[in-house]
Amino acid sequence: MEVNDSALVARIQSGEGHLFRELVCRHSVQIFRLAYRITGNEQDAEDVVQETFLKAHRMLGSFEARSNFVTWVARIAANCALDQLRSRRRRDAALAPALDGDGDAPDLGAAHPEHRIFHAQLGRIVERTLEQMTEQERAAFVLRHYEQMDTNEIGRLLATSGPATRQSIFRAVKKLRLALMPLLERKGSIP
Amino acid sequence: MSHLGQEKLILHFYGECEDPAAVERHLSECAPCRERFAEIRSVLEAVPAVQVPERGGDYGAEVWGRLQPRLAYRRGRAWSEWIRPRAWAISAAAVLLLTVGFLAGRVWHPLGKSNIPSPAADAGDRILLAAVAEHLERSQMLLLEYVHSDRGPESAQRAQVWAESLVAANRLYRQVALAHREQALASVLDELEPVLVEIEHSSSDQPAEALAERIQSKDVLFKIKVVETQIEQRKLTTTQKTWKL
Repeated sequence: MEVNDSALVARIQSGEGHLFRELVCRHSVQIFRLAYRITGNEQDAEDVVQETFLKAHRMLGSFEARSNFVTWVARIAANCALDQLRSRRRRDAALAPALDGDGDAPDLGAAHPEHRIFHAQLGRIVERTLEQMTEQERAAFVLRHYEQMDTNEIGRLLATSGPATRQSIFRAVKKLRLALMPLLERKGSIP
Repeated sequence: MSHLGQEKLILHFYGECEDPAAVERHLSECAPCRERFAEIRSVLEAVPAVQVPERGGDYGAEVWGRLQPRLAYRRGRAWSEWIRPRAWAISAAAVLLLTVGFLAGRVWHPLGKSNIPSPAADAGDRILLAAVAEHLERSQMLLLEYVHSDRGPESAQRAQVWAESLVAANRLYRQVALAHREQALASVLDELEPVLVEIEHSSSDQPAEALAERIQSKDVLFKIKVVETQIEQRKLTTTQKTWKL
């Protein structure tokens, strides 16, 4: 029978450090996905996974047994991913978009040349807009839109209040709307 | 009839509106709002899906393989030691010795002497930077836990013990920062201190929401992160400098 996270953490806190491996194995994929969505870059996401578990390991003493380990570690990961994104931007490195390569977003009509061009343009605009968002806006939007987390959950992850989180999402959507509207209007997607 | 704001329409799209039925009712009666909502929906539905690279079933083991050497030195140590006051008193004493030694080294350095960096001084810098970074990280975790905890008796007691262990170190690092004219670091530590002291003296009987609000509204966590990032860069620079010698 699989031991639950809380029981594992309690045993690790009592000195059975080798059990930390089990927590890493259980949650690495989830943390990678979260990190990738925020950073939009595979190598950055890998670094975030490492950094997250290092921090979690160091901070495990402060973890309360009745809390949810996944939520706790995801909060660490979201913060690490934001830091990584900030550093990356500071270094002026190319921020690889977390979008389908070449903007070939999966779509029913993507095979049609016109649709391919449209989706390529769409992908590029979204990529550029995500790059222009602040780290907080990007993270909040990505977590809301792609991870489908509610704003309270996002606030807990990013250590921001509910209203501040919602404002970040609103600003992100506003930027996307401004950027995408001309293309969508040309295509006639706007009713 | 007043119109629905863009914020409300966005929340409605994501299913987070407090009263979705009322919004739907309004949309069915108000053409401009309906039009605006359709526009928001078109934009958000057009955002392409994120393709996250696949990770296989053994990914966790791979991560562990890379992580293990970095954790090795901690093996066998009970995690609960990290927040025990006694263990912290010993750590704080060690940090104090290190800091006094560090300051002494700087202060006693004759002014006229050349500025050629010595490996020992750089090693001291690196150790001190690492200690400050760790202190900031612990403080950050405490604040995060505090802001999001249920603030029941157990959480409060735990936070008190934790804060108590950080207050003394915080004062020490602030003095060091001031002595070295590290204004940004000193300023963050200055803002951090009353928060730590307040947590240290808080109890589950007192309303803690005000403090949690203050932590969030003053962006204490963000400021800590900024300084942490700067320290990380400094650590890198110091290491590179040492390797060049």
